Amino acid sequence: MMNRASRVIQVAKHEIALVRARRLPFWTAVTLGLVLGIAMVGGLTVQTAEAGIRDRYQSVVDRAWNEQPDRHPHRVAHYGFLAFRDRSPLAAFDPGVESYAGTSVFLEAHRQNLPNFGEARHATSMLRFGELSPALIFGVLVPLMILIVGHGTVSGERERGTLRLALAQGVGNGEFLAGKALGLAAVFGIVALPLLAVSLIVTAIVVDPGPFGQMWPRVLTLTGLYALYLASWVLVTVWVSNHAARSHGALGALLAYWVLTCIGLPRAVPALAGALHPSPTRAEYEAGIDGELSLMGDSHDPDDPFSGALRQEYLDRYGASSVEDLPVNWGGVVSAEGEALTTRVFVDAADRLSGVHRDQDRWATLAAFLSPYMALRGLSMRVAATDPSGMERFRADAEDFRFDMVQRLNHLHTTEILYEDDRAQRVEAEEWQRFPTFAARPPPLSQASFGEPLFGLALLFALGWPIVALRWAARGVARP
Amino acid sequence: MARSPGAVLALALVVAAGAFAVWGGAQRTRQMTDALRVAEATHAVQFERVLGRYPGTTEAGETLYYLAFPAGTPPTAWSGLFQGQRDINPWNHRVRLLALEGQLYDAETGNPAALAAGPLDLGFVLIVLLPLVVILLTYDVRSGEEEMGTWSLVLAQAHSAREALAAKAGARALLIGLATGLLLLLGMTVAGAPPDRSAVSVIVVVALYVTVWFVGSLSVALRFRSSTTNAMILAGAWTVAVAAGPAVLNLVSAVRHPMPEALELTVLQREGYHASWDRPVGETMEQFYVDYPHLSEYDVPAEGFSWAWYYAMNHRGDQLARESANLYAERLRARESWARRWSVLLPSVATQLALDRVAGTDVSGHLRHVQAVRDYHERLKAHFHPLVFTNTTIEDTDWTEVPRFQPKTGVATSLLALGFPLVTLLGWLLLATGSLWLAIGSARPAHDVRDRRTEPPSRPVRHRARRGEWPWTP
Repeated sequence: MMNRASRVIQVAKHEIALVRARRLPFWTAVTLGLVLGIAMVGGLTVQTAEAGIRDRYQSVVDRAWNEQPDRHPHRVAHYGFLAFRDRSPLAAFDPGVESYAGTSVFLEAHRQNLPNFGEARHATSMLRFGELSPALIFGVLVPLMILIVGHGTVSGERERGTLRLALAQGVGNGEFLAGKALGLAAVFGIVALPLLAVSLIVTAIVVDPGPFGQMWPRVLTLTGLYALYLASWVLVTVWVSNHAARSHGALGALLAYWVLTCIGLPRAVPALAGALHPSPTRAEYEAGIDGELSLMGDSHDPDDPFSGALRQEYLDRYGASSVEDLPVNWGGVVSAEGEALTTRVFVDAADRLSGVHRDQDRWATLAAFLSPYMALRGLSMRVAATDPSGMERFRADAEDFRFDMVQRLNHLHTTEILYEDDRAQRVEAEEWQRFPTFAARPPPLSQASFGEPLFGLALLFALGWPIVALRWAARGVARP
Repeated sequence: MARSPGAVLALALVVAAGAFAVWGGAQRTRQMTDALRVAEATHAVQFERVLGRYPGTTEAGETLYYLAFPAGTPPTAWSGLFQGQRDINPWNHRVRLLALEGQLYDAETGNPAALAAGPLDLGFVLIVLLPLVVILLTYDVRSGEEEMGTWSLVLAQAHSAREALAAKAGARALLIGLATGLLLLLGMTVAGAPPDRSAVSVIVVVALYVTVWFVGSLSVALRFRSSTTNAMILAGAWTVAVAAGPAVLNLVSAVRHPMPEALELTVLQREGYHASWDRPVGETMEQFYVDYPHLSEYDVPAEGFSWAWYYAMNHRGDQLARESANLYAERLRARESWARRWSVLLPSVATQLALDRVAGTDVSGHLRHVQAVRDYHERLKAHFHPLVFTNTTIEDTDWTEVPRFQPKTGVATSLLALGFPLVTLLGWLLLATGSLWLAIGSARPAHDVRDRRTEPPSRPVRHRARRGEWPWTP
């Protein structure tokens, strides 16, 4: 007598044999390898090209900053700085929203600019169909392969009459289903998982990580995530195949599920969220900022009446009778104060805008429970550091850098430049080299994985409900 | 057809999705028109405030540093239906007299996650979802009846297999045609699109696209026997047509057309402008007069600050970035024409490009807007430079005569103006029709039909039964 485990394995082996008989694993592997090869070569080429361009211009900008001649600090505050966002190395695997977020932001005094020149700006309408990447292949195309190969696992046996034979031989319903799932999982484990691992490893080796750390833990996490996701697809396929009366009914139901979860919901949910929480247009955004700024004075003008209280405070502090007698440059003081006030307005406006975007994204997070692909995508983007919160963090870091840079310049203006004949004076060129350079701080892996726990829960749910459903089906009377 | 409730349900779902897409598009269009109004209002408010802040004897040049003039291209009636790139590319600029290259590329404030997901517009429903319904309705037009064993019944009521199939196909074509027509009518009504040549182009393109899918799907359905095989082939074709194929083309396009000019022109413009502060006034003015020789008759102080020198320095930045900016626009155009050429492989991409061209939301539409902004900037400079160079004060300037932005709205797109995508669709229609012709020709005569509900595996399973195990014979 055989025990349960060996019966399950027997069923699995037979499933593998059946699939192999139809030459499907070979063709699947060939197609997958081909498309993946295109995606890898293209993705890595674009990655190295883009990273190269950004590095080149960042070093041009850095050098130009350091090689500035003697200049007035306020002029340097208008000269500003161009910060370029580093492209995440795993963007070659999962580009996420990388192309849609700006790559360069101009940091200057009195203004907060938003990042510009995402790669999507240079693309045609064709881009809206989707970007080819290993993430798309393993998230959308491999599940299609799974359901094409596996839709007839149980229903096909039923139609051919061999299910009856197996049950008559003493294989339990549950063992049969478990064996089928194991067999299908083994086929795709052998075909797809090595390709997944290879694509991740090649990406990690070929691409220069830059400021992004923890590359190998990220690679490991991504492998695990995609493996879990594909396993959930195997389970769903077996369950639907068991449930369907005929094979092609199973295929239809699975295709409908695939279209809904991989094509339909990922588009419909953000559209719905955008309709419920509309993003302000740029015009409205700037109008709001303009309105608030108009209530403040003009920090270019030291005689502005708005700074009256400040003037009195400084006069009192230094015991001077007029601003010309102050030991510090009154123009610099006004600039610094003005910058602090305007920055608060900009930061509040940017926070409000991010708040709207986050409200929209919350819908996508909840929809992850309906669509395993959205759950996978959410987590995959976060681990690959190509998700919206990473882009947002760059913007916030750039803004912090801008504020620090401008206030340091204002401090130079206040202390190194005399109030009398202000505009004609210059600060020595060596001073510019003492300024810190912009360094991005991408979020660490732990924050990426657990920062939005709903995605992880949704993925576990996607794995859990087919298991529960299969156990239920196993408990019921088998339908030979 | 009542026996396939799934197909009818899918059709209803797609029509519902289309209705939602149309509604969403109308909302987005309304938001865009609101944004234009807000921009105008902001400008009026700023105008009053800036001019009011300075005494009348201040030079006009000082206020021109702050004044931002609205330059927005209104959305066409079709842009709610076929969103194209309109949510990614900026279309509502605020132009100051300063260097243009620093102002032209400011992005819109959209959510990157939503942009990455892609718009749910009527174009998506027609190009991606409708073919699915077409496939669903036609894949089992013959094999479904065969597998259910009712084929002989159907034949008994008709003169020949061909007639029976033609009747079924005709009924499905009617249903699909009605659904497509309903979607288009709904879209055009809600979007307020006028019935001109653009409308004709849209209807023709959509009709061609749906017909290509219908005929192609039918030719597969008539050739093969098993529903499952039909479904798999058609599902595979659909995936290649709307997911894998365009994605591959995208990647090839990105690899073939790198765009370093975008960042280059930003760097050059900024350097050009700021470096001028450290150069002699005369040097900058000399370069400036190359583009505006008629302004050389005015005197500009050779030392110290003057607003004429300031705006000349800004122009210097533009001059230095000009080559990069032109190259950038040229590369964008090259990308677009490459996509149009290679869309010959994929009717879905060809349809998308054609519909976006009609709606003015493609790359050409964006470049048209950018050119209009450039022209406006030149007109503003032509108007204000003489005032700046003559040190005209605020009170002496006629502020009511300021030039206004003139958007370059494209003319209604006739069929011929669609160009290559139309040829692509016609070509594909020919291909699909030819395939159908062959499928009908090779279809076996009715009396040869056998009741084959399932397909046996293509080769025998090598599994030897051992004692104690169950024999598993296929």
